[in-house]
Amino acid sequence: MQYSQVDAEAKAISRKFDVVVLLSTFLALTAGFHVHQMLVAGDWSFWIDWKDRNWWPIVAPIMEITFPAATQAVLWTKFRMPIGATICCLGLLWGEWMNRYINFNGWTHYPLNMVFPETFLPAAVVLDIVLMLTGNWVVTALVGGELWGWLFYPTNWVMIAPFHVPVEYQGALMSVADVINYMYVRTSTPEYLRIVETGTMRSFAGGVTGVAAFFSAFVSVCMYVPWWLMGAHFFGSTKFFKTYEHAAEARKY
Amino acid sequence: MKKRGMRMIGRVGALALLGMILAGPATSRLWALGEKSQEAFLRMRTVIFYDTQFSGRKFKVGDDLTVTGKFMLMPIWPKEIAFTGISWLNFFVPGPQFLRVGSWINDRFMSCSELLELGGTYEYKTVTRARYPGHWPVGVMLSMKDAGPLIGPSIYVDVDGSHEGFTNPIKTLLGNTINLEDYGQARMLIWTLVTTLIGVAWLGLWVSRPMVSRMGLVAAGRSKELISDSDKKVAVIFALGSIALVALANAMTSSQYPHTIPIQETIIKNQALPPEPSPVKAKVLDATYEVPTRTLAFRLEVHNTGDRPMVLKEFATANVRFLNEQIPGNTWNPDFPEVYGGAMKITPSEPIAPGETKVIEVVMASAEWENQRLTMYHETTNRFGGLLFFSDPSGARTIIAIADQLVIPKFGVTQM
Repeated sequence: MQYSQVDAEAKAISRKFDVVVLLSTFLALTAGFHVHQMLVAGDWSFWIDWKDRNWWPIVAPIMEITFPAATQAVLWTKFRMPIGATICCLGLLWGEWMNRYINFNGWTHYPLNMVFPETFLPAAVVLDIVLMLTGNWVVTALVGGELWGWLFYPTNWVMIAPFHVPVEYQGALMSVADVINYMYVRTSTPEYLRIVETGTMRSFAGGVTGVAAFFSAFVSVCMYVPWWLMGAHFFGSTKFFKTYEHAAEARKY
Repeated sequence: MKKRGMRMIGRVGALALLGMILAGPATSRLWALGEKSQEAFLRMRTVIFYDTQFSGRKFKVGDDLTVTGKFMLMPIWPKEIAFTGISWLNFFVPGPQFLRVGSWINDRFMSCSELLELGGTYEYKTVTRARYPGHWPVGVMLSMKDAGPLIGPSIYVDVDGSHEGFTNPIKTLLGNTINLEDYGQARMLIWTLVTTLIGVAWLGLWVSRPMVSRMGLVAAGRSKELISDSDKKVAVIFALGSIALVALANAMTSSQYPHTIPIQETIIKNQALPPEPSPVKAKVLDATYEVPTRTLAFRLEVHNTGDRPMVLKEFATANVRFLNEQIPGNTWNPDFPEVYGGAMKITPSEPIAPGETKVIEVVMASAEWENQRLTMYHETTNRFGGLLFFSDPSGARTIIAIADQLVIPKFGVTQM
């Protein structure tokens, strides 16, 4: 057998192994990140009438920078692959769409425009690129975390703006999202259960979103740090022996 | 051993498959909504619904179903359950198989939660529209902040037809009519697709390269070889392009939707109906529940302050009604949405004369005490409540709330 043949075969096997690793990583992240997201920010993501301009832009980015930071820690430090945040957010989006399309829409008949998920993808790509260009996770936390928080609401406003058009319904002023909430019955979701803006930021003259985005970006920076460290130390702590002698030495103990 | 294990796995698998087969058709047929899971004292002593009427039981997709009735927030609210008064009259159905077109409490449209009064009686109306065909349990309930859902009467309805072509048009304040079934959907899908493609392209750029072998190079300290200058240039284009795209899309959105409002949130106070003059005063003296015969009995001291004789016609609690069938015409109608508890025996059965005060014994023997899980001796709070309906010869009603009466169970056996 020629060396070139062996080399080609090794490369083919290596690529197959890549596919297995990537696919299993993607599915594991889809499951883990989706469950995490449903537990910590579920209703804001599930329902159009929870997507307000105060709590949603605070809660969602803060809670969802977690898995991207931890995954970046592994994929960057061990593979130099700047895709940790992107693969996480693609997995999350995939999981969310399966849930919303099959369960919410297909099974229980909620219209898709009521239950579609938010997207983090532009912010995720930017977060990966900040890490790639700086090569430094602290700078990524400071710059990428800020951009993550700031980009969230504008990215999703493109989709939710039509649902904030005003409607006079049965003599009451409501947004389209409010009317959808009202008409498409959710058995145990009285209006008072929604955690949405209640007009408490009086000093900001209604400019709630900017304040929320600023706060969200700041806390995203803070959240990035522990999750990166968790990813780097718990999931990315594979150790290599530099020489056979080191390995043999280690085996003695 | 291995064989046995395999057999066990096979059996579990077969059972799971059977479960799935049985659960499949149940997606269009729901058997119950768990009304009875709530504790008896909660259902008997918080909110009592009465005079409930559903406008029908058979509908076509697009037909309206109207529910009307009254409810009383019981004057002595159990201390175990928070009373905030912040309430939402809900219509329960398994998912949006019906649209809620409108609901009114005392003729006031309920766009948001309303603050209701303890001891108050309220009249309500809910209009819903059939959206999906099926056999659905539907009903009303009052959800109260910190107290949870308090369930009213429910019935099963059949909806025929098809959802195909169903629309839900409303007019916005900007003058255009939109269909809520798919409004904004195309825009949402396109934007999700565009942003997802950015992510897929970025991911594709990297996963098209060998991945696992990079681990060795990084471990060998050669990580700088893995990112080239052209990679960095492409990355800058991706980052700036993503930010520019979001900014551009926002500018377009602002010009397309110049008038938007935030999600609306408020609470409206709603006053109870004015109390009606009550010619009857009634007080429960004692109550027992006989376990073997499933009989709730209580002695009631009644004082008739009016000028007409009064009879006790009905006792209603937790959506179960007991009727005094000694009164002519006071019989059960199968269209009633509540559960028929059975006949209520009154001793002595003669009406209470004007000015008279007398003690009557009310006895209700019914399997429904068990069926509806209203036997309080299993619970930490052995108190019952409900509404007593008195009537004069003209049919004029007087409603008295019993809200806090202790019940002593009788087990009928000598315990060792």
